[in-house]
Amino acid sequence: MLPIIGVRLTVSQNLLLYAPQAQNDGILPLPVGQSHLMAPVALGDISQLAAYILTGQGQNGFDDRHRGQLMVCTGPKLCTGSQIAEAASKVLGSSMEFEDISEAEAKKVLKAQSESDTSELQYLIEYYSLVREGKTNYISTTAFVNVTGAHPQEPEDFFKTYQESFVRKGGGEDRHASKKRKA
Amino acid sequence: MIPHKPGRERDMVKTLKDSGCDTVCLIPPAHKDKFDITVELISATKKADIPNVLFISTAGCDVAERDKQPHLRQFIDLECLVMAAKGDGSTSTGHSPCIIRAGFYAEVGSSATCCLL
Repeated sequence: MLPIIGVRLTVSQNLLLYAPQAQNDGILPLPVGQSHLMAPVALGDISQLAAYILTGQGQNGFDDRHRGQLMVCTGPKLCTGSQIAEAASKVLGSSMEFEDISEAEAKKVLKAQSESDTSELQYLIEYYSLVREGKTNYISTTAFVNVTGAHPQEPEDFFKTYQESFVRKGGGEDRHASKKRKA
Repeated sequence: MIPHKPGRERDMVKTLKDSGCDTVCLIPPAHKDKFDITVELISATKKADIPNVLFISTAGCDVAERDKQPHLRQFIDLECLVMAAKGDGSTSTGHSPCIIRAGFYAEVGSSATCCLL
C-alpha cells in the first residue's frame, strides 16, 4: 500500500462550539428559527464513507459502484433546534433548551468560541440562513447505507460520544457572555 | 506528512508526482483563502495526472444563492472544476472521480486539504 499523506490546516466546530453555553447555561443557541429542520451528520460517518470510496478498487480506479457518483450525505434524522436540544437532554440527563438567536448574536457567539478563520464562521452563518429558508428540510442517507452497509449516527449517538463536553457544570451559574444576549 | 505551501502550484504538482500516489481526497480547508487553495489543489491534481479523485463538497451548495450564501455557493464552482476534468483529454484526472456533499457536521468540520493514497 502506498503511504497516506495529509495536510492539515485548521479545524472548525459546529454543535461542539456551543458546549460552553450547554455547560454553563443549559442552552443551545442556534440562529435557525423555530420550525425549520436540519439533519446534522457525524464527521465519523463522512470519514467512513470517504474511506470506503478511497479504498475501493475497480477496473477503472475506484469501485465501479462509486466511480462518477455525486453523493449527498446528511444525518439520518431531521431535527428542529428544539429537537436537537431534546436529544441532548435525554442523553445527558439534564435539561438543555434551544434558543433561537439572531444572526448578529450567532456571529458574536461563534467569534467568542471558535479559533476558526472568519471565513469558516461565515460559512456556518450562511448554512444557518439556508436552514431558516427551509432549504435543509431533507435527509439523504441512501448513498451512505449503500456504500457502507451501515446506518448513520443518530443525534443521540453524537451527544453520547461528546457527553463530557455538554454536561452542565455546577448549578448552572451564568459565567458566559450569553447572558448579554437579549431574552 | 508532506506540507503544502499554498501559492506554489508548480511545487505542489512536483510533490504529488514525487509521492507516486494515484488517488487524492480533496477537502477544502477552513481558511480565508479556501477557494484559491482548493482551485490550486484541483489544478495541481490535474497536472500531476492523478486518475482517482474524491472531492469533499458540502450539502446545500446547490440551493445556496450567490448573493446570499456566497461561501456555500463556491462549492458548486469547485465541484465544476473537478467534474470538468472528466472531459479533458489532456489529463487522467477525471477518469475516476467521486464527489461527496457532506451535510452540516455535528461536531468537527472539514480540516484537511488533501490526502493521497
